[in-house]
Amino acid sequence: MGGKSKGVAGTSVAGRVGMPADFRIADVMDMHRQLRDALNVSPIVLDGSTVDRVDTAALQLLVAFQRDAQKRGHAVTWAGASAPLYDAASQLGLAQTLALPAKTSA
Amino acid sequence: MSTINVAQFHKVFFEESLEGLDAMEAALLALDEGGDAELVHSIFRAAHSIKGGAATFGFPEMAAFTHEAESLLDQVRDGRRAIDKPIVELMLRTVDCLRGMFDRAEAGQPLADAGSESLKLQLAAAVGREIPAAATKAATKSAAPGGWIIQFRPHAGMLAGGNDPLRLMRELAALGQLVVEAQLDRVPALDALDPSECHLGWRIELTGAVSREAIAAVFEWVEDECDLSIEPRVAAAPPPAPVVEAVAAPTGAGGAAGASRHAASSNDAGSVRVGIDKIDSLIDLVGELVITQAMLDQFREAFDPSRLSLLQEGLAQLARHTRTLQESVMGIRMLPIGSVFNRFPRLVRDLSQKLGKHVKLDMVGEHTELDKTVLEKIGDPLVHLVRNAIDHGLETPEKRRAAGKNEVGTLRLEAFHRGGSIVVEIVDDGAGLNREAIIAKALQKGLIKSGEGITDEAVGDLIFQPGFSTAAVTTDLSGRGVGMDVVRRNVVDLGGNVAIKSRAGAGTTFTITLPLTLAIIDGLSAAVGDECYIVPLVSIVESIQLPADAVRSVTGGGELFRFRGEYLPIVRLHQQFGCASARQNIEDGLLIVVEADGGQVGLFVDGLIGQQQAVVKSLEANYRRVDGISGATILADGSVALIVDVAGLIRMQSRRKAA
Amino acid sequence: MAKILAVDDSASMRGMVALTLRSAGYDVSEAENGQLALDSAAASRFDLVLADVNMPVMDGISMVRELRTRPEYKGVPILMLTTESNTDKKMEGKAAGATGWLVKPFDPEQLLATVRRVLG
Repeated sequence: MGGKSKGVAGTSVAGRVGMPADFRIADVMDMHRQLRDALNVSPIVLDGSTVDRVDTAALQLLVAFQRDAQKRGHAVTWAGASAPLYDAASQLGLAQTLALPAKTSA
Repeated sequence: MSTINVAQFHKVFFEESLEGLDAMEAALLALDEGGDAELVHSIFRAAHSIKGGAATFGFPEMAAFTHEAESLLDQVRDGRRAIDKPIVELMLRTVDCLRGMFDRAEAGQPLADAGSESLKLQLAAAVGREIPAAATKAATKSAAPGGWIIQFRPHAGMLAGGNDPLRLMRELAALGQLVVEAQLDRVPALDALDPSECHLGWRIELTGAVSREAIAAVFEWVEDECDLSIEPRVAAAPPPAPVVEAVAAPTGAGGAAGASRHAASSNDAGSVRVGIDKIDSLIDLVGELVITQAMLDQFREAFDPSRLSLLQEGLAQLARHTRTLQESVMGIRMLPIGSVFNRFPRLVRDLSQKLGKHVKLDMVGEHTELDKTVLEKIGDPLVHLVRNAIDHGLETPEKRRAAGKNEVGTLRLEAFHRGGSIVVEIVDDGAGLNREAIIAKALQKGLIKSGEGITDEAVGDLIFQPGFSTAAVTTDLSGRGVGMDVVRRNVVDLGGNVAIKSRAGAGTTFTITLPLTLAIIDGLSAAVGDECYIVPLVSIVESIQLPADAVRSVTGGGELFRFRGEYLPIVRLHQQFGCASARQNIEDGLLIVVEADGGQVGLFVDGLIGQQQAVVKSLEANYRRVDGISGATILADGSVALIVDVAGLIRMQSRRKAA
Repeated sequence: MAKILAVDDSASMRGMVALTLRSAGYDVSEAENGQLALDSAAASRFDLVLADVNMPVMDGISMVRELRTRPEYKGVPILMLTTESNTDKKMEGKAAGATGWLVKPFDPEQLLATVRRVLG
């Protein structure tokens, strides 16, 4: 299956959640698990600077996470968002909802 | 099929088809001079053979083209359509077009051309049908000068099927300028989210010289996997630069053109799949209504008193049909709760594995039907309660063993009807509420002043208090935690209640009571001064008249009365809502004993007017939220009556008591 | 470059598809029925699958249905190559989990345009 080997970027340490290079529906379960755990942490730092491929499923997951974290009054900030991540979010009208920072290169 | 070279049959196919076309032409010309049914049959047969051969010998374009001609001829053949000059003309052009196709086939060129595509559309239009979007690209370019508004709501399974809305959005962006607004209202809580399902929707404004067909072509593969509407943008002015807020609301969006984001998300009214049988029964009912109306119509001109019984019968019929019609229409909005329950096996499995607990999930009553709106909003509270039950209610296998219980804990979800309500119970056989811990926490939070003599019920109620729990509390408290006040608020917003029952060591039961529908309630109308208030029938226990000496005054100004062995507080509605010229003396009026959230109070009113159904109008939407009022309705005489929020009043009462 | 699996029992059709895509630079594998395609799909992960409907041993629709049960093929585009002009087969394929379709006969340009469309 792959996926597991990209784990370095995809582990959450002390409120930091990194996203895998291929952040798409087939491998989205692992991120779902991590983000659910991250809901118990505040502040949370999201790092999307190494995302190369991303789809709607992944962005929807981030939307749900951000909204739930906000409901709990947690602070969520971005350490970085790659150009593919930023472009995809803009195209789906989600860049503002996700409070993405300006593009940062990988 | 494909091991044989079908090309060896091509020559024969061409020859017989050209002969067929000749015969078809002759028959059409004969028909033009007034022919008979046999001519029509022979024309149909010729077209049918060409269609069959074209499909078999690898000429799908010819097959598709001929299919349209055949459909039209089929309608003529079985008498659904009279043959007339335009049809004969259309068929003659079809013959010519097919000859051209055969010429090109022999020359090895593509069969279809602009002429054949256009004629195919004309044939389809004559049949009364639209050709699926793919084939229509070239034809009838319907561009909208103001651009388009596209409402796009994928079904949950679309992502897994490989159609990524992101790709569709990129294709749309290639057509023109986009303003994309995502609709997030149906994205479930992260815990409840299956990340491979799509719960997003979009409202897309597309400006540019784009035809509807070009847009439809983008969505061609997902037509059956989404709710989609493509409407011309009603542009009062020429399309401005994409400024989201300034754009006019879509057609018919009731007056709120100025409201921007908010209006957009409420435009998205959703849809319900309705069985044909339900529609048929509605049509039957409407038929009955028409008959009744005709019957009553006789009395319009003259009324002979001897026919009074007939009039009464007609009116009774009208009442009966109206009620049945109402029930049937409500039934359309009803969906089984199973669609919400479905997510729990997975949630329970994941969570119990994570926590190292053994949990058996029982689900009962999945077929119980709920109003669609209620159903959509009950998911999150249920997820919350189920998580809580596993997280905090059920014990670890070791603890259960030590307590002499089965290592496997049981969690039961059950839905059923009770009276005019739907009840959903979440029952666990865990440790029950930790009374001491909750009291300690409530003391610390200042929610109560002392833990002495506090009933189990009141302890249960504490966990629903705002501010009782925060995420941080759960970890150091073995009781229940996170956001139960939110759960209660969500349920109350739906017109329901949550009650909790717990026995130490034996488990906890949450009972959610929900109204069958949000749109209409059965109520009792009561007079208070010059006003009329509606009390929902479901919450009424009894109406009683009290002698003045049955009332006990308590310090702080409250009043109590004895009812079935208990003292209940009295809520004087005229005081609560500030009504003038209402009755003041207890013995002059009436007490309506009502119940909600497991609490009871007596509502003091002047008297009862009668029972009636009330169509609920939101007060919030039309005015603002008022404590103790859940909505408004319009009475038969056109005046407005407010609907009493029984649960809200009881909560206010108990808060007053606690203070 | 993206990896594509072309599935068709007709050698000529399969050859045409593979040749067209390879000359456009794609990495193409071939399978002559649904069962063999499933085996290939287990051995390596494809970015796109193009499959005929009517095939011996295992037809395209059963193949799609089976492929969609594998988590790693969630969301992966699968296109049916169909000769059916009526919508039944398209819809049957869609219901089984196909992403879309390409109606036979198609020319190399149409094929490439569709492949580029789904691979982005």
